[in-house]
Amino acid sequence: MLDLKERLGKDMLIFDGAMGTQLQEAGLKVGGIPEELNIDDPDLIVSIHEKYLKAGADFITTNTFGCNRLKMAHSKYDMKDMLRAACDNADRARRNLGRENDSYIALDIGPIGTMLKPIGTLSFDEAVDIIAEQIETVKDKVDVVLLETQTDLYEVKAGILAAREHSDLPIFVTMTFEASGRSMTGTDAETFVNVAENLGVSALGVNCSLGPDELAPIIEDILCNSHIPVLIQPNAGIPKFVNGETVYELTADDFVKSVMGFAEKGVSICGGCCGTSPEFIRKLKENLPADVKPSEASKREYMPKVSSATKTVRFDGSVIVCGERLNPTGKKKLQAALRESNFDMLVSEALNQEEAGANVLDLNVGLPGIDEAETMKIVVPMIQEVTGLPLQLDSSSAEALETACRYYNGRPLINSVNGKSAVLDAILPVVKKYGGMVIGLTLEEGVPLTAPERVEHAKKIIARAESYGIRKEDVIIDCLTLTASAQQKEVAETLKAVSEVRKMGNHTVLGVSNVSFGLPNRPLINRTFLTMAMNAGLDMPIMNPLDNGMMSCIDAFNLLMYKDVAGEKYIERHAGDVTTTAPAGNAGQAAGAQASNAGGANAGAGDTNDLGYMIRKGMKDVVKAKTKEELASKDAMDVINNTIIPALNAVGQDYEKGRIFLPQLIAAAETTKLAFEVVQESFTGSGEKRGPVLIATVEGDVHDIGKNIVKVVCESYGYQMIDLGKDVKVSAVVEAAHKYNPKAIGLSALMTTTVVNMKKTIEALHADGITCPVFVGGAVLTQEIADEIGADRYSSDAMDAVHTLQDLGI
Amino acid sequence: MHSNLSRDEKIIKLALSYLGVSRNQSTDAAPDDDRKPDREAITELIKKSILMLDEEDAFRVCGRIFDMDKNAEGFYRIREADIDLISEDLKVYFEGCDRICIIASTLGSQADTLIRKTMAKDGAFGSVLDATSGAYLECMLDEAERTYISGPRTFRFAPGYGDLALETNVKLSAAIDIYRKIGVTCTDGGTFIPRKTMLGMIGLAPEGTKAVTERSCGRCTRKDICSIRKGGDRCWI
Repeated sequence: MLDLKERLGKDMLIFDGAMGTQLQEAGLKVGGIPEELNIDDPDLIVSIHEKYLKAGADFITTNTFGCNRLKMAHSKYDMKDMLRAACDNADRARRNLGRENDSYIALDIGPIGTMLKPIGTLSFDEAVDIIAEQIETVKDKVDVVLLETQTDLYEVKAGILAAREHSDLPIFVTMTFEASGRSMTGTDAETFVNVAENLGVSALGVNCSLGPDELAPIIEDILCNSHIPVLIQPNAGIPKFVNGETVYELTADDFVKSVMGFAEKGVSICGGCCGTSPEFIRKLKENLPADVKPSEASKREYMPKVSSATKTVRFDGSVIVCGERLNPTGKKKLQAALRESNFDMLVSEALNQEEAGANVLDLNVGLPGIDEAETMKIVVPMIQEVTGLPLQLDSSSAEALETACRYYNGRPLINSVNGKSAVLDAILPVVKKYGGMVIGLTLEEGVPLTAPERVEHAKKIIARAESYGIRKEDVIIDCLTLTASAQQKEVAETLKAVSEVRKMGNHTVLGVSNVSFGLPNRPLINRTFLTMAMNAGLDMPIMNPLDNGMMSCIDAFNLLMYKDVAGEKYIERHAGDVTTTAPAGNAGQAAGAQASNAGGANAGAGDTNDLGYMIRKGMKDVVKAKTKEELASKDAMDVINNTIIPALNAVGQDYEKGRIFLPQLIAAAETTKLAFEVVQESFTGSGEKRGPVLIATVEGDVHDIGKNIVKVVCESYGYQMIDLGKDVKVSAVVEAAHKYNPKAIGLSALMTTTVVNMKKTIEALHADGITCPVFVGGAVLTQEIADEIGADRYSSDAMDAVHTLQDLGI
Repeated sequence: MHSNLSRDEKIIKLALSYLGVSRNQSTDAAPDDDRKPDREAITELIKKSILMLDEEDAFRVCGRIFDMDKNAEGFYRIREADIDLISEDLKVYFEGCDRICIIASTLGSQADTLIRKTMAKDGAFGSVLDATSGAYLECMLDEAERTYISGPRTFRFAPGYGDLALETNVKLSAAIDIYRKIGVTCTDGGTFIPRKTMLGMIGLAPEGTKAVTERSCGRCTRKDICSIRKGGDRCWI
């Protein structure tokens, strides 16, 4: 057998064409299970493989596109039997033609068929397990694992890890893209390449989607970024809907002509997808050159990049702002929130930083008393659900970093390693396994005072990283910011070290604001140091992107250093600057005020400077200042009982009477929550909240908008709400009930099919001795249904949920 | 259909009904009462939501036409896809139809992410965006339908609203290869992910057929609990 790894990237290799099209032509019914034909009609499958082999294909793909335990749950055959039969059919075909030594069997793994969390219901772990099961079943019968027609980068990652953890087979991955240049879940070609290549696949590319001409921009994008062989399997043109049927109109000759163009640019594995046939493959074989041309990426210098699922940030010499605010250090409120498993604050901070212009977000949840790894497992997908910025995963725990990297969707930046061997050997394997980049702190036992010492540490870290197979350029060096108040002379050493490391060809990072600790007018020192550091070659300051002064420094620097050509961005951002010392307005906040001030268009009666009015009108921007003003002259309980609660109750009554609507109710609730935050700061006692109250959307249901609205409104009334999320398993609700000992549990379901799970949850709670009241709500719920399933209360909407809790004496 | 309304006008009208801003809302508040319902402010948020959704450009549609006949019990049947439409309602709605168009559309995971992000920043706007997304999907599908079908047709009917079980979506979505075509998955219970997805069936009758069934609240199984209907509005344009 010709060693595939020896041929990749050197010989032009040919994949087969469509299997589905061939099966439909042979009579496969709409909605039928093609995988069953591996057992029902193996001769048909063998004959199709033989046709492609005779046409000149080097690879035949097994008839197993959907052969996983989820999709095959209703099949008449066992999934594993179909997998084995498929592989045996492929092997029989090549043996029949004497091609067993010069052709390869690719285990075809298509999408699992259900979306991964947080958008869908399938956990990442289960996705890995499903694909691993497929591979384990037949890994000795195939030559390569092919993950194809992938639309979700998270699933791609699950598949690659499953393949690497369960076999030594080469892995090929192809995604499908739309004409927009992105996959259906928003991944662009550069991001796909950055993630898949660094996760260690042997070839990657695109299949299905579109015809070869329409795929041109995407294929070229892949060729510009991939340092490994590129595989393309286009459709036979764009499908057209003719007389109720899907038709592909491209001829084999036109198809080949387009594909030849890509071969000239470096594509080294070519085949076809929907609408193609053995004729297409034969013509590819006849016309494609035998040798492989160099691709665009091979002619360029390697550029390190980090990625989320939908965005790639390049270390290309421009300044990359890393937001530092997702870190509980020194932040009491965030610490308290993390201890209560309330992650809303993290989500808000992520969004605020993104809006302020951060390019990457540092994420650290290290806090004594919490399970950091478990928290990362929850928080990483949660943050990634709301922001497309790549994350810098920050922890001193190797376990927490490994967990964070595993569940991260994209190519992570890991913060950090240092010069200690134990740390390097604990964390560099994690970086390599998950294809990440890593920050290296130039210290070992203590902070070196001089630049040369720090540069030596940098070299050691880089060398050790290279020994683990990590590219030199993927190590970002932190030359350590020392505090000017304590080590004034050493500040310059940091800048010298940054310059030296840049000359070595590595990029640099610094935690900027450390420099001013203990000194007056910290912003002035921070801005000045930042500018000096950027001039020395700093690539990525870790800083507060909400600090307008710092962000403005970067804008000015980019202008002065000709990175912002013609100063377009600078002018756009600063044309309206007022040259006083007053802080500039926050555009995000202004937009938020406009958005939330749903009730503000009609001024009507009422004192606009009155706290109650502000709550009723959802004036989030000004309520905190007004609340502080009220507290200056009144007792906190007085403000709560005589102003806040009456205003909120008035809002609730107006909502129930239809005089205001849902958006205004939510705006008022969110405004009240802000007022409460200020009031609680003034309590000398614990400022105890009411509750806690657990809420969840039940198992099998992914609708959570209603539940989220209940949460916001109840929180505005001072309830501590513990939100378990959506599609929450019965056992998870029971477990949470034991953990948090709630005063009440709220369950939400939108569909009649999931009300069944609501009943199961209530039964499970009772069976486990949980006696707190359960209240239910959702579009299909009625009082009758609530009674039938054993709920204690039914709440028709968010306000009713508040009344329910009040009636229950909570 | 209100064919004289523009796309955006239809979306606004529908989104307002989803938000409970009924066209028959009480207007008995005194003019100087600061609690007077602010329909205009919500309308502005809806307009802003439409712009955001247009910018996402994530609307996708797929569909297919099948021949239709009846099984032994008189229920309509899509023989080629092996689907029996067990529904008394459809016996009435599809009377005279010999074909069916199964059509599905989605705003993709991008809409779900956008709504979640907006809810996290601004719950009020997020709730408007959520409602507008649903209305947007309906109205965009109304327009896209025209590329699939012509001739006498029924209104678009979806499982779960009449007496056709929601689980029918499983087979219907497989019949049009919904995952490969528009990246949507269907759970065993018949719901779709991403959330802003809909699948409908349209009965097609031979040219010259006169009577095809109009949509009516009175025929919907949710007519007694529908909050939109209680508010004097309806969920369709």
